[in-house]
Amino acid sequence: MSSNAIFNIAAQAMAAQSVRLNTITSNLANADSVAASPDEAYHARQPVFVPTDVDAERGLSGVSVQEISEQGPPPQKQYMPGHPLADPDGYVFASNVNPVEEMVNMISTARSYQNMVEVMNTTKELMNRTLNMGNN
Amino acid sequence: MADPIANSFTDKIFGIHADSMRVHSRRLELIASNIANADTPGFQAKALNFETALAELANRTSNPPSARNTSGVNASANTPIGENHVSFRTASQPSLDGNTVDVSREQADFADASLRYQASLRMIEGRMRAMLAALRPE
Repeated sequence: MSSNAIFNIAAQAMAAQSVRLNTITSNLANADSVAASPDEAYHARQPVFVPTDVDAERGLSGVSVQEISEQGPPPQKQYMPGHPLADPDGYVFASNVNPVEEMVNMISTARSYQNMVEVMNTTKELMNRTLNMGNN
Repeated sequence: MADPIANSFTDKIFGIHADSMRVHSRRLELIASNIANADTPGFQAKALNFETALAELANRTSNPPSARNTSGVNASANTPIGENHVSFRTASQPSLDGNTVDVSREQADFADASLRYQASLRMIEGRMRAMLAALRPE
């Protein structure tokens, strides 16, 4: 069993999912951040997953984060004349983070990460039994 | 020079189980790759048709080619399982991003492959024990 491929795939997937978890944390932490202009406002970050070739010959793909995209709806304009960051018209620009979306994403990330941990554990167990073949 | 008798001897005691372990470990690899890409847009899940793959391997083992390489290893036994047994899965519930991985199905398949791998492992161990018992002077 070329277990290296499975460990490689699982490790890549876990790394990618932890990047995703990091961006979610960053998004949630900045859900209430405001800025003085739409450009400075916090934009929700989303990792873009792409398959990587672990063993092209055998059709095995891992996964990696190609980029962190900052697309999404434009920042919300809020009228807060007393705010220290307000522009001359009295507006501040809130982040475009949707906390509900982020929470759902977080659950999905946790599940995916757990799946890969299970895959790794099972593979490790199988490898151990194969290595100990005939010893017990 | 290879010893054809020794080779056919090991082929006979372990029978189909050595091939079965190879096929199921190949399946485990493909499933791991699918689960890893469960959140990748546009990823197409792959599956191994283990019946035809196993049949091909068993056929190779029972009809080994006469030419063996210099290391004495049956060359055909080490060639990878053919790509022709790998196919794309049909999505049971198509998703908007074009991903065809169904995680619950992959999990079930992973459990199945790992159990079958272990079953073959047990059988090989049993045969090894039997051979050792036969060799040991009482």
